[in-house]
Formats: sequence, structure tokens, C-alpha cells
Amino acid sequence: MRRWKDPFPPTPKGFHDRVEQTLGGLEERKMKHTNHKLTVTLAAALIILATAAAAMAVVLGNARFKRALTAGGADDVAALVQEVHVPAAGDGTEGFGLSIDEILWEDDLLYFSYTASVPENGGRYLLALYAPLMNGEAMCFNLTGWERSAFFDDRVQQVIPLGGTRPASCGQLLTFAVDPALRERAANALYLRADFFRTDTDFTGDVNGFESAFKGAVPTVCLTFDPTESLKEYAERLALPAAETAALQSIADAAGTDGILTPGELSDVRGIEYAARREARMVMDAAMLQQTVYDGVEETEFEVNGCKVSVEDFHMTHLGAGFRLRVTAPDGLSEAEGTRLACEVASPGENSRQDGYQWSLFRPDGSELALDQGMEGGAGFQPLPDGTPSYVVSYEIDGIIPLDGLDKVVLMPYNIRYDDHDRPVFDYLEDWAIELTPVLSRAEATAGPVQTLSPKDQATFDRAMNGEVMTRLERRVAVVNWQEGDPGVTVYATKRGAFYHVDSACSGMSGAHPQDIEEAVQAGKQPCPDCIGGQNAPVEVDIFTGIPVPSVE
Amino acid sequence: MLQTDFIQRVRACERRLYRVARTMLPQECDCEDAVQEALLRAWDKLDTLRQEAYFETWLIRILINQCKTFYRRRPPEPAELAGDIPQPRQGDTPLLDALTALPGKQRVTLELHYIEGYSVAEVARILRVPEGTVKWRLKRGRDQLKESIIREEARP
Repeated sequence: MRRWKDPFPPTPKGFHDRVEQTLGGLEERKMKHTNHKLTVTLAAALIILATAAAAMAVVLGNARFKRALTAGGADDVAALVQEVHVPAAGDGTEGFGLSIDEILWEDDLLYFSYTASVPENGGRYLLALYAPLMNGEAMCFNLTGWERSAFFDDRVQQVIPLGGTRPASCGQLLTFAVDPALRERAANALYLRADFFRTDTDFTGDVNGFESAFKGAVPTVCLTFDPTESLKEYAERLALPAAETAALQSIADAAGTDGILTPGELSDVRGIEYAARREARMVMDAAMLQQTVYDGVEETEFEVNGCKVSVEDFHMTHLGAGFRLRVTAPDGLSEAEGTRLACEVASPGENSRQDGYQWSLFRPDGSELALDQGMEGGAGFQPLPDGTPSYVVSYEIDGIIPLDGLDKVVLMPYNIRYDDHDRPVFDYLEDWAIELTPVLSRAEATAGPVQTLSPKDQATFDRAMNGEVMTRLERRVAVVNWQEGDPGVTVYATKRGAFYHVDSACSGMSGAHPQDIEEAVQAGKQPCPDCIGGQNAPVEVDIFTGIPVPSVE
Repeated sequence: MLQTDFIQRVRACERRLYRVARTMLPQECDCEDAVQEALLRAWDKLDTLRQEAYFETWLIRILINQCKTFYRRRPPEPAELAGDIPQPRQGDTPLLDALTALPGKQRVTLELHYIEGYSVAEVARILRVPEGTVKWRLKRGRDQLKESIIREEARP
């Protein structure tokens, strides 16, 4: 993400003065926020509540909406409903309803309304709405009503409380932003999924009530979308070679006995596509996924800046890693001094800068642990039972992690800042780097080969991991010199555009769709001078991104 | 959290608070009132902050709620023009004007993401909406912003 330059005028003196005046008057207000024991008690109560709720929450049933959509007016769309699937009522599922009311497609907006209902028996229920997907892609969406509903993560987008003291039914209008190019497809599939949960937790308070009730309750049935169809379309759209398509399918196979991917697993698929562009080939199956599990480290205690740092949890698989550290202040300091010092270690720079550092795991050469890495977590104040100031630092890393030969990982704080040209600059606290030795959870795992990514060319892969820009004369040469009778190549073009492109992100590509080069040539289109580089010049492209690299004189 | 920590962390994000308030309220005097109310409310409710690491996003959330309350209480009135005398302004005026012209929800979402630098997930947490909705608002906001700026530039 590129941050915009601050367009606002300087902070007015009146605003600054009002902030200072307000802060200066805090002394006069009741000092009721310094008792950490209260915080501990509250946190403990929440944990107990969450545990109890998880035990009581029961999945009652789920529903899958699947609609095939094609170009045309609203009437055409409505006529092309292929499937609306709500599981048949079983034990305890009578009285639940989930129906599609209306669906309209207008320009790039798709409107979709539904109604859900639970039995009016005084019971409390939760409706979990999952991330909507079209052709396997997560969609941007807007929704109406139910301001008091909760949201969770990429997977579950909204949880709506029903029943109890609340209404037993709800209706929502969801509006999706749809790529206009999709209208030209022969068929598009929209997938929505919703699960009903029963809970004994009283969620009359605030959203925390039903957030707690939902967390930890795992749906036992996973009906999200048809992976075969979606993966095939996904691979076709990206014009992936057969090997990558097979790699995608291997993940689908590993996803579960039903061969169905959840939206969370779909992000792993994107990681594989990324790895494929790095000339890596996936060698992954369900058995291997289960086999290579690290659940600890040899080194568990350190001293950082005077504080004791304990590794309370460490786990790592091919698909992600996570850790939990406890930072405890040294003895002999006052509560305030200890808190400040422990905070500085847990979130370095947090007290003195707007953007503090955060801890993360790195490979021994300092590169990111995972391909296509995503991270989530934070630090929180959790004093020890005797009152000693202490912070817990916890992060989860998502992405494909090449474990082959990874016998050490480095724990280190880092920060991303932006220079005067808005370019990201990574800062590392190398002095605080800690080397950890991951420990395999099962002895038998060491007997077999531990291999995730098998690079086609190790040297190329190593250079790629070091961030070196590498180029190759790709199939663009074939595109430039293509003649009738040559093998087909996928290019991108708009209906009325003068050029065809090999870079799907080239300029002027709004509404472009993939097509065979023969089709583009027959339509009178010329090769794009930007992304193909003229009639005769072969083009060097970055092997990761596929984007042409300017030649260096 | 100690009072000194509270004060320190508020001061560290004062500029950010101003931008968020200014995004939601057109009048400077309302921004001042809103931030004062938000700070007092945050101080009173400090024991509901579960993780200090999220202090800033938590405070911004309170400020946004406060701004909404102000907005409901006193919807923006058309500004009175003092003849043809332009008001002295600083900052990137065309962008700010275009941003200000957007609907409120899109405006604050764009501000938090592109100016404050919060990730989509963080904006979702601040605004208490799903991530998909944040992406939606960013997309629609960007499109409208682009149209607005192009229209303005084409004007003779």
C-alpha cells in the first residue's frame, strides 16, 4: 500500500491547545484506571467465558448458496439460478430458514438479498456469514443493517446474533463490486456460505459476548465452493502451466477429505501461485503437511535489554508459524519503571514513535520466513500474579514456508517506515536478534525427507530469496514474432483497444480479458509497445512479476 | 495504563486525531469539541482497553463515534461565503476538497488507510465493519475521488 501525502493543513493551534487543556484536566477526574489487578480479573473472566461458550456452541446446520450468473439483464440473471442449497432438516435443525430473496446485476454492482431465521423458542443462535467468493476470488462488498454484529477474520466476515431477546430473523442486502469483464464470461459462480450456531452464552451485553461465543466453535461441515470448477477457472484465468494447475489441485486434495477449500485455504493457493512464479514447484501432500510440525524451540529463555524473555509457544508448519513471548521486567524496579522497560522490549519504540517495531521471525539470512507472507498479532500488558510487570507478545505468520534446510530461525524486531519518496524502508533491531532452533514435534518426522519446495534451479531460487531482480526472455518473444500457425499464447485485450498485452496489469486495461493471440491478431490488434516492447525487440521480464524490466545501457 | 503514559500516547497521535476529526467534521470548532469529548471518554473508559498495543486504534474508534454524535446533533450547514475573497488554506487543497466531497463512510475509510497508513484489517477493526466492506469503500472511494479530480482539472 502506498500512503498518500498528508493533504491536511497544519494542526491548528486551537486544536492543539484544546488537547493540552484536556490532558491537563485529567488530574481532576477520578483516578480509577491504575489498578492492574482489575484488568487481570477481567481478562480471566473473559477467558473463562470464552472457554465455556466454545464448549456449549453447537453447529446446527449450514447452507450454501451457489448461483451461476451470466451477462444480461436482471431477468436473465434471475432465470439462471442453478442451485440454492440448504441442507435438509435433521435432528434439531427444524425451524431454521435461509433463503435468497432477490439478485440483481447492474453494471459493476451485484445486489443480493437474503433472509435467515431461527426457531422462536427462546434459544440463542448465531449466524456466521463467510467471505463471499466469485470464481474463487474474495469480493469487495457492502452490507446493510445489523450494526451490532461482529466480524472476525478473512474467513468469517460477520456473525449475527438471533433469538433470545433479539429478533428471530434478519435480512440483509449485500452489494458486491464485480469486475465488469466477468460479465463477458460464459458462466460465473457466486458462493456464499452461512452457518447457524446454537449458544448458551448471553450476548445481550456487547459484541464481546457473541464474539466469545463464536470463537473456538469449529464448523464440522465445510461446504464452501466447488474446488474443481473454481481451481480450473482460476488456473485458466492466470494461464498457468499444467504443473502449477496440478500444484493448485494438490492443495485442494490436501485440504480435506471432501476436497473443498475454505477461503483461508484459498490464500494458501495464492501463495503457491507466487511460489510457482519463483520457479519453485510444490511437492506437498496431506501426509507431509501433517508430518512436518515444529512445536517448540531448544532455546526458551533470553535476556533482552535487562528484561527476561521467555518463549511460551512456538509452532511452525509448511503453511505458517507463530510464537508467543513473555517479556518480564527485572526485579528491583518500581511498577512504573518496570512497566515502561518491559513495554519497550515488547513493542520497541512504541512510547517514543508513532510506529513502533514489532517482533517477527526471519530466515537465518535475514529474509522473510514465508513466501507471500502475512502477519497478525500484537503485544499486551499481562502482569504476573505477584504484580511484576510483564507483557505478552504474540504473532501469527501466514504463507508458504520452505522448511527444507531451515534448521534455525531468527527472532528479531523490525519496522517499516516510508522515506521522502514514499518508498518503504525496513529497519531491523539486529542487536536484539535471537537465534532459535525449531524442534520437530514427532520423532518419526525426521526419518523421512522434510521437503516443501523443490526448486527447479537452486541457484536461481537462492538469488530469488535474496530479492535480486532476475530477468529472462520469456514467451513474449513468441508473442512478438508470432505468426499464423504458431502455438497459441494467451494475451489480454479490451474489446475496442488497439493493442494486445502480455501484462495483465498494463495501462489502459480496464475491462480487458484473456484471449488467444490468434483471436487478437484477427481482430486487428497490434502488440502493445509498453509491455511487449515493439515489433522485433525481445523483452526481458522479471521472472517473479512477469513485468518487463527496462534495459540498462 | 498510567496517566503519564496516557498523556504521552495521546500527544504522540495528536496529528492523527486532528486528521480523523477533520475528515468527519467540516468545522474546526467541532473538531476541538469532539477530540475533547473523546479524550475524556477514553480516560474514563480506560479499563475497557484490553491490549495497550491497540491504544491508538481504540482512541480513534472513540473519536469517530464522538464525531458521529456531533454530526447527528448538528448536521453540516452550508458555509457562508464572504464575497469572492478566497480563504487562505494550506496543504494539498484539491485532494482535500475532493476527499471532503466524498460520502462520510468512504471519506474516513480512505483517510485511515491511505493517509494514516492503517492496514485493511486495522481499518476494519477501527470502524467495526468486515474487511470486505473496507475494500469496497476503498474501491468506490478511489473511483469517485478520481472522477472528482479529473472533473475539476478539466474545468476551465
